[in-house]
Amino acid sequence: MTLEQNSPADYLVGHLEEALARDPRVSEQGLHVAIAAGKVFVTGTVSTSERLDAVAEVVGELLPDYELHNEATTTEYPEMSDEEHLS
Amino acid sequence: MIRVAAVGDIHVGRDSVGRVRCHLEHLPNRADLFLLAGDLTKRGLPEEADVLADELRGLPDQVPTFAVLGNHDFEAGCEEYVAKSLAGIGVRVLEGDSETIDVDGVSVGVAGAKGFGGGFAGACATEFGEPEMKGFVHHSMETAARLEKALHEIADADVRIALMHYAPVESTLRGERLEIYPFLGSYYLAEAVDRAGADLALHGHAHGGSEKGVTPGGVTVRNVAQPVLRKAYSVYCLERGGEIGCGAPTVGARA
Repeated sequence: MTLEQNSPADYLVGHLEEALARDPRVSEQGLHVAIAAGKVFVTGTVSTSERLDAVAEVVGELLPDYELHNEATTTEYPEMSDEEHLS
Repeated sequence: MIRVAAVGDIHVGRDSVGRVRCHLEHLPNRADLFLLAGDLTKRGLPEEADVLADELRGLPDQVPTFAVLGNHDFEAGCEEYVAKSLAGIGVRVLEGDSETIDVDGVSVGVAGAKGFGGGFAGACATEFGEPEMKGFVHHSMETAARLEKALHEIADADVRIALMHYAPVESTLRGERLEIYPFLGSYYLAEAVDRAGADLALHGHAHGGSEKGVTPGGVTVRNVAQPVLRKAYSVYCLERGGEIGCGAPTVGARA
C-alpha cells in the first residue's frame, strides 16, 4: 500500500510516523519525519541496524516516488566507565 | 556509597541476539544494583521476551536487578509473559510494589511502577468528559498512586529509589517537542515521589529528552532512556542518607 503521493506534506508526515510506530519491522515511536522538495528525511534512533534498514523499507513502500534520507541512527552503545556522584 | 546502574528503552527484538549481553560484561563490578526502566522489548512479544531473558540470564545472580515494564512491553498484549520471563531469570519486576535489599549493611529500597502520560501542571489532561479521556487520566492517577504506596513501603530504607518508565517531570523532557509532553509523563508521578520521599527517581521513555532533572520537592531525577545516555547504562553513586562516604546528604523529601 502506498500513500497518496500528492497529499500535503503534513499529512504524509503524520501517516509515515504512524507507520513507523505500527509496522512490526520498526515499531519505533521516536522517529521524526520531515518532507521537503520530494525528499523524506527520517531522524531519531532505532535499536539495531536491521531496524534502520526496515525504516527504509517502510518509507520506500509508502512513498516510492520520494527520495529517502535515512538519518536515523542505532543505539548499539558500549559500556562506559564513568559514573555520576549524586549529592 | 551505593552504585546504581540503570538504563531503559533497550527495545530488545529477535534481531537483538548477542547484542545486549556483550555491553553488560563489566556491570557486576561497577554497580551494586541494576535498574531497567521499561521498554525492554520491541513489541512485547513472547519471542522477544525470550531473547531478553537469554541476554540478561545470569546477571541477576551477580547483581540484584529490578525492572518496570514500558508501553512497548504492552504492545502485543503479552506483558504478563514478559514479566514472568524476566522473573524467571531472577529480575524483580515491579508494578506498584517494592523490595529492599542489603548492600554491605546499607538497606536499599526500590519502588516501581510503569507510570503513564497526562502532562504537567498547567498543561495537562483532566479526568473529565468522554469515558476514553477519563480512562486515560484515571490510569495515570492509578499508577502514580501505586508508586506512592510502594514508596511508603520502603520508607525505612537507608536509600530509596523510585523506578518508572514514564517521566515524572518536564525537566528531563527538554529536547522533546512540547506538544508531546502529555504523552511522555505526568506530574502525578512527581507528586507521588515528593509525598512519599525518595533519594533518586529514574525513568525512561523520552528518547529525545535530557538526562538530568529534579522534582518540585527536590528529588533528583534521571532520564535513563538509552538514546539519551548514549551508552549501555549509567552508574549513579548515592550516599547513605548523608551518614557515610563523601559529599553532602542525599537530596530528597525525607521527613
